[in-house]
This record gives sequence, structure tokens and C-alpha cells, in this order.
Amino acid sequence: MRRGVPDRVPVIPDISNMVPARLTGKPFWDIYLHENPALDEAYVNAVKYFGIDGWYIYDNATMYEQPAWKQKIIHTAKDELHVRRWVETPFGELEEVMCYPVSDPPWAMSGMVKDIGTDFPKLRWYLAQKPLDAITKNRTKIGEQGIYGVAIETFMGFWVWAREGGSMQAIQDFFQQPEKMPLIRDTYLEFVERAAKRILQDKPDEILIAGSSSSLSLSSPKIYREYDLPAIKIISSLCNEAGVLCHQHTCGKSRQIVEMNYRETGVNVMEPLERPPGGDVDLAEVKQKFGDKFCLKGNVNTFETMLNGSVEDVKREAMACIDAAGKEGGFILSTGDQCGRDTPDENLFALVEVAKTYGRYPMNRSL
Amino acid sequence: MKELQELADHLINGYADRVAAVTQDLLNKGATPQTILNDGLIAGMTVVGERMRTGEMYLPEVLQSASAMHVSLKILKPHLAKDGVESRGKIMMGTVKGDMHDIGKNLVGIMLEGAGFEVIDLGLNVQPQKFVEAIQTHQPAIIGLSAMLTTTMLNMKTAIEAIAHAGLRSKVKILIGGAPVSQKFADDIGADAYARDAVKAVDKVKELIAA
Repeated sequence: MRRGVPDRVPVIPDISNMVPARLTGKPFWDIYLHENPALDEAYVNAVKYFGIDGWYIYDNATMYEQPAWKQKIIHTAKDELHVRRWVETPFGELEEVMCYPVSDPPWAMSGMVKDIGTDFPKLRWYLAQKPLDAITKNRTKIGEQGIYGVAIETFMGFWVWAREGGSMQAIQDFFQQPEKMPLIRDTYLEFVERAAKRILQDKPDEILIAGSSSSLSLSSPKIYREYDLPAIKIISSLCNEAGVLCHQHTCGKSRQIVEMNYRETGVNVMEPLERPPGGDVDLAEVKQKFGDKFCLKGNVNTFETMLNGSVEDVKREAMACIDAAGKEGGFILSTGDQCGRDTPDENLFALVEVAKTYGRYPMNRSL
Repeated sequence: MKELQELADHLINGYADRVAAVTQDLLNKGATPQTILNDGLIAGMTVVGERMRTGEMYLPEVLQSASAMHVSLKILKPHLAKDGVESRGKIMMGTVKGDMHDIGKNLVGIMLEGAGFEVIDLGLNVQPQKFVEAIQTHQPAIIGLSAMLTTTMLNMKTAIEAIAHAGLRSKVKILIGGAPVSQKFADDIGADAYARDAVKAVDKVKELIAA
């Protein structure tokens, strides 16, 4: 991740988070809701099972935990649970309702900010009260299986998480209620700076900028520049000062984001650099233009290849990725965003095998 | 007409107020609602679709253009009805049972409306029986099924089986889309077509309607 040249290309497919949950053999709500086992434990077991080189155990700076969130199961069926989660604020209850399906990850049935005027003051109070000392609670869990990091959402990630109506409403807010968005951004920016400073005191291995919702498949370069980039500049600058890695995940279309980050931020690692059809990244081009600054992680296609392709398809694309970006280090062989729950195990094993055989340094192949 | 180009330009830029004003102005000057629809709105949305395909426009901007188009359509609708102008076809869409992802589906809906089709959106997490009932009620030419998860994509097959079981399969064409699905999967479950993205979905719908 620091762009060194190891003995071979490291391999870390994006198994987050359905594959580890599937391997437990348990209803998904046992993992996501009851933490039996916790998702972190499921990750570590999956890393061992597939022979992956490591994983990242994250705490999340933005979401839940404290102060005093309460939750109650309000609906139980054979294939899903509904959970109401709420916190008291001086401005009234801030609440959301989550659905926990038996075999898929949870999703928000009802978001916290239903009306910006009424609910944003509650969210603002929550962010101001959050005790940052508790964020790094999972530090000891990863052991020798990987690294420990703390995730901080981009502004879009934060707003999509908080907003009733999810990503579609979050986007529409930018043109339906443009006068309200700068205050929301600045409130989040203040929280991000405070949280990052506190997290870095605990010296994690990295801070992950969780930027799925900042993808240009969903957002736009204009929104990214005005709303996401300010926080990313602050976080990456603080990380650089502290000597802690700054790692950004932005799936889907991300080519312009890679370039903006290269020119304007201190981000060290970019992933998952998805290619068409879901993304727009040419791995060789990105390596050539931006590989002197970034460690690159990606980009075997999650759906066409990992889910629906054969073992031979996986090997072929994995080798092509190593050819495109492996030279002189600074590359982690991985996949696009989130391998689906039913990704065949043999395809994940094949990806790992290619790194361990074809990915050996020095690479003297003429490409 | 200069104003039709102006209408298309405002639509492309997502200026809803200006789109409304020019629409009304064109009607006042005697332009037919069909001309305004075809040479202003659909022409504008065609450019939007092309710019999205080439990466010059992004989803937020496309949504803004779509929102402007809806403002204009609201003004035009009574006039279109009065003149007996029909849409290019009725398309019904929904994300299948168990799936809460709607961005792709919504984008396809926007592009179809922009191409002059009438879109009926059944929303998220649509049960197979709801598709059946909606076909009986709305009699669409095509149904678009969307899924984003490997688990829920299997419910596309369940929906198609329910439609067939109700004796409605020959009355509608079925188009599927979503990240985990493929042409092979479409063939396996008996769908009529598969589209990889929103722009291709519009092309497929045009092909299916023409067939």
C-alpha cells in the first residue's frame, strides 16, 4: 500500500460483505444485527479460507454507536426482520427503520432525515455529541490477518446514509433544496475534521474514505468537487502528517475522481478502479498516469467475471490486471466492488492462485 | 422554430422554470403539442441520453433535465389528450421482490419518457402478483424487470412464471436489466431482451415495439 515492491502481487478480492456472511451458514441478521458472529470475525475466517493476503477491519466514524442509540425489532418474518433504531435529541427523536433480510445485507426502509428543516438539527446535534474516543473499539480484532482502519464517509456517503429516500433523494436535494446543502456539508466537514484528528491519535494503520456514494455513476464531478473533495483534502492531509495511510474506495465510474484526487489530495490508495460496464477505468492508463502517487487496487470485474465467469475467465482477467498495473509494485490484485453473495468459491480461489503464481516479482515479461 | 431549439436547450440544462415558460409561449403562439413534444422535449432528451452515454452528463444533471421535462409535460398533457396524441407505447417497470435498488430502474424510466414512451413505475420490492395485476390493469406493451442482487435476480424468473401462469405472457414483452444479469440469464429465464444500461434499454424497447 506504500508502493513498495513485495515478493509478489498481493491479492485481496473485495469480499465485503456478502461472501463472509454466506460462509457462516447463518441467517444474515445473526451477523449484521446480533453480531453472532460479528462481521469482523466472519471476515477473518473468510480471509483464512480463501488464502487471501489480508483484510481491513474497520470501525466507522460516522454511523451509530454513541450516544445511546436504542433499537427494537418491530417486525419478524421468516425472511426478514425490521428494526427501529432511534436516539433522543433536544429537538426530538432521530430515527430510522432498517430491514434485515435472511440472506442479504440490511437496507434502510426509512431514513433519519425525512424533512431537512425538522430532522437535520437532530442529526447535527448527534454529530456534535458523538464521543470520538469510542470509535477505535475494534482495533485488536484483526490480528495477523490484515490491517486496522477507521472508515469515514464522504459527504455523499453521509448524506445518502442519513437521508430518507436514499441516493435518489440525496441527489435531488442538490437541485430541489440547493440553499440548504452548504450548511449540511459544512456541518459534516466540521465533524470529519474533529473525528479524523481524534482517530489519528490512536494510530490506526489507515483511514478509509468510504466513497461508494460519491461514484460518478451516481454523483457528478461538480458535486464531488464542491461537496466531497473538501473533506477528502482534510482527511488525507491529516493522515499524511500523521504517517497513516489514506485509502479511498469509490466504485462505479471513478476515472475523473482518480485524477482529481491525484492532483488535489494526499490519498495514497485508490480502489476498486472498475472497468466498463460498471465503471470507466482503464487500469493500464491509470497506472501509467497516476501510479507514481497511488497504490492501485482492483479491478477484475465483479459481475461479468467473478460471478458469472469461469475459472479460466478469472485467471485471464487477473493476469491482464497484473500485466496492466503490476510492474514495479504499488498494485494489489483485487476485484471491482463487492463480490456478490453467490460468487463461486472456485473463482475466488483462482484469483488468489494467479497472484501467487503469475504475480511474482521481478516481472520480466515484455508486455 | 427558434423557440423549439430554445426549449430543448433549457431542458438539456435542466432549467425547469424556463422550460415551463417556453412551453406555454409556444402553445400561445399556436405550436401543436405534438410538435413541442417531439421537436422540443424528445429532441432535448435525446441529446441528454447521448451526452450521458459519452460521459458528458451525469445522473444528477439527467435527473434535473427529467424534472424539467415533467414540468413541461404537465402543461402539455391536457392539450395532447385533446388532440388525441398517443405515446409511443406503454412501458411498465419494477424492481423485483426483495430488491431495494432503484437508481438503474429510475434512469431507464427517465430515458424512456424522454424518448416519448409512457412509463408506469411500480417501484421497489414488487411481488410477482403485483406485476400480474398491473398488467391486467394497465395493459403495457413491455415490462422492465430490474434487480441488483444475485439473490433477487432469481425473482425475475418467479415474476415471469407468475405472468405466464396468469395467461398474460403472450400479451407483454419482458426486458430485464441490472448489474448481475446477462443475456444468457435473460435467455435462461425466458425474458425477451436484456439491456446492459439505460441507453441500450431505450434501444431495446424501440426494437421490441417495432417487432
